[in-house]
Amino acid sequence: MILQDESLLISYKGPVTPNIMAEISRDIRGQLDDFPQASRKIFSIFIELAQNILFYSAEKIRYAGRTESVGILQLVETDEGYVFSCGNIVNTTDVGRLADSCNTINSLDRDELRRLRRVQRRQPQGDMSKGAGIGLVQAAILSNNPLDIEVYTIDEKHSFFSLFVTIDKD
Amino acid sequence: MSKPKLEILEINGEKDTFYVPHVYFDPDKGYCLLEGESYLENTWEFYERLCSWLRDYTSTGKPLTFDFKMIYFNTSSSKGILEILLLLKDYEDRGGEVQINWYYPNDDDDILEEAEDFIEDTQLDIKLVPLAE
Repeated sequence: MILQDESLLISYKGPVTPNIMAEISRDIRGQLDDFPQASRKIFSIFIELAQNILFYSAEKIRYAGRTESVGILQLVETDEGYVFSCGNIVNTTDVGRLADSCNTINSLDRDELRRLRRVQRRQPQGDMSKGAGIGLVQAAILSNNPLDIEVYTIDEKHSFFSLFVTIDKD
Repeated sequence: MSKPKLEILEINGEKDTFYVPHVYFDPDKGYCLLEGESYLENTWEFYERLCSWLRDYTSTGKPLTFDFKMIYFNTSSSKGILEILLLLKDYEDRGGEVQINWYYPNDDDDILEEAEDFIEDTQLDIKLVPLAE
């Protein structure tokens, strides 16, 4: 990602733990006081997508005695809005499913997305274990913009999957 | 019926690593409040505790007023909120008297839309009440 004419507000790479998510949440809420609506949306999107890293990241490290998922989280400010992105290494076998989810979401209008969110909300708890359902839909609804993805192949088994969500200023 | 008397259920709101909403369920007044922000470590357990209290309360057949004053909840929490609403709908269908008020910040269309979707999902008559900032 090229950062010309944009300002990087938050950038993090490392284990994504509840404590670190709490720190980043405070940063998001603190830094974006001037745009309360965008701030709320970014915070909500961040919480949903950080969960995706926990579910999908194929990169693990030992941190404070526990095995944690590694990911990258970034928030960039542009003239028109903000771009929140998250990236992590995934098993190549998961790429198709993630990309399909994003493409499906991008093909739906707002009412259809709300309907899909309602359907997913009613699914039993166990069926949601792989994350890429309602969280991505929620991110798309809140952002009001298409989801952008980038995938780089690392080796036969692994790829780096990035997701970019654009949030307009109020 | 010699069931033990249902107690007040109160959970203090917390904003730390996770966000716990404030809960105040009063069996004598027939009044329930869920307020604040919900992003929890054990979402299912938290909402199951509320549903369990409500199942006991609705078995008494008394009227109930439920105020939702949520300003944030993640998608996992929204499943818990839906469970509560479905339980209330079921009570109403069995003849229970239920009044549900959904308060939302008047500058937050996203929360309002969530409430509208809950209405669509449950077919409950939920009163939407905007709150000034």
